[in-house]
Amino acid sequence: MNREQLRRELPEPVRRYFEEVARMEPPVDLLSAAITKVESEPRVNRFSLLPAMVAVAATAVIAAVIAFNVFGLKVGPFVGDDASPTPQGSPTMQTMPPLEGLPSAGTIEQRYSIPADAGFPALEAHGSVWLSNGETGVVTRIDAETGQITAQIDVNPNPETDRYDQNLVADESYVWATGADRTLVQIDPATNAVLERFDISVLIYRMVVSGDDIWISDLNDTNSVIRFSTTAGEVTLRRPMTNWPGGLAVAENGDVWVTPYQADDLLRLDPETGDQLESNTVRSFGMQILLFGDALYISGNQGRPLERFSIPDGRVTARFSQETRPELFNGRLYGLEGEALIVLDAATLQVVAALDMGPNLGGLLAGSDSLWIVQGTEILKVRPA
Amino acid sequence: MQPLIERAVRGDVVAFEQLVEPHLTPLYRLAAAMVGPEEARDVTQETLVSAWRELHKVRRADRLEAWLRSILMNRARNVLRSRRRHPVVAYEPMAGHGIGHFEEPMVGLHGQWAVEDALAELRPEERAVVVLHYLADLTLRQVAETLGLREGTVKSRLHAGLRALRHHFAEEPA
Repeated sequence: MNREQLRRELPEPVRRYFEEVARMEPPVDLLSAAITKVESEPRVNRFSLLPAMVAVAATAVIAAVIAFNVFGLKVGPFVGDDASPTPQGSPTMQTMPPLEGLPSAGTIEQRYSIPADAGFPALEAHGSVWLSNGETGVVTRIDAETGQITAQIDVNPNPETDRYDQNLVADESYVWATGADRTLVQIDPATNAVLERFDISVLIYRMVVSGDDIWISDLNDTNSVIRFSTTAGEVTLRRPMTNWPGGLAVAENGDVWVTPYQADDLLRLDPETGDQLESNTVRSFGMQILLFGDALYISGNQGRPLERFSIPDGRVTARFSQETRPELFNGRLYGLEGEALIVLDAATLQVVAALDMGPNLGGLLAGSDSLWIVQGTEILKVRPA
Repeated sequence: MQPLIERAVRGDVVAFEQLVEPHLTPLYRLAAAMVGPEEARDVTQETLVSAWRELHKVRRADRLEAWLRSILMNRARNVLRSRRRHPVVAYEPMAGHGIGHFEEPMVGLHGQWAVEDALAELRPEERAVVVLHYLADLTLRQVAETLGLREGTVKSRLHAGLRALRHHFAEEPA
């Protein structure tokens, strides 16, 4: 009798409850908390010749773990412009260290005023920083050199149905925005005019540009992954998924990677057919995937950690205990945690630098030569260290 | 895996962590089904600490998972027995899912209060059998081994537990 047949013997509410329990994940700090307790336990040693040696070895191991995790000692080579090397062995969980004593993550170069409802920094393209507010449906365009507001574009006035949120991507010619009413909106960066609204009949969640295509995940409506051809102006592939497709990335070889919401999966799809080629186990319930070299950085959700997945190794190689959504700049990962800008080593996900920014941080974007951080009614231009 | 066990028995905490990490999620889920999500963390953590103390009892690496499961089920049944002796309104709604930057759909455990009420009506021994058989997909023989019972006892407890659940949800007369 298989699992499904077996559970049919249960009353329906219990069966559904068990199915959901079977998808639950332990709190991210559970193992480390248990290990901390274990470390404080007196050990009953059954190897009489070894107690002193064991004590010394265990102390050394514990000291090393504490040093790496608490004091943020660096492991492995520093990561430069190339893709990060994959650490050997099972993944370790890096944690947020005290910020004191860490090298600076950068310096604030400029502060520009923005409207209070400008939203988060979504894109740097065509010489501008583009801020997006999904609630108002307005995109605010800021000159990347002067900080001057050059346009405010109402992406889809008078919508009849809501959008999920309002993301932006760009190709060489256009900026593409999530529209309301299940549309994809084409904006001309030369005139700031909305050129067209393509009815694609999906509730867009994530978008990734790959050549002449935009890949789209529809998390909450048709539960599908879609390929939209920017040259043909139409959807060229719709691939229904069994779970809610959330995070999305396209590798250099064209493979499409998807992380479903509330599932432990990282899926690889054939870019031609949308067929599932591979399934890997991850913890993060990832809602966003960042591609860097041959690694995928999957942002956690619901308290799950940021994970680094090595494509050639087919496994998670490092974890960071926070839900951080990293941005890539010059081979290093940047993220916002609390009131700080942090730098993560791309190989180990260890926090290697930080900058105390203060409260009201509203989003981070890596641009071409600086980082952009929204803070209250300002956008800050930060020069990474 | 055997060298890891030997290292852990000798006091190597890192080896112990590597040893139990693959079993953490299934253990936590078992705990959640036995005592509810609120106390699952504590029960899982206590299980790991017990395992650390008693690891020298594991003779075979391939028995580790079953052994951890046995420890956890004992802990969980103790919690349930204590709860029955000192009944409290223990079940609270789970916190809403933290979403972060964007708004995400809200998904909770379906009808968890009603199911928790129904499971709470079972005797701890019955609940253990139901959970191991239907959630962990163990065979009756494996359930028997886990709980240290005869297979016939497992069958009768499973039957009783199932009947009580069906009765609770009005699928079967008492």
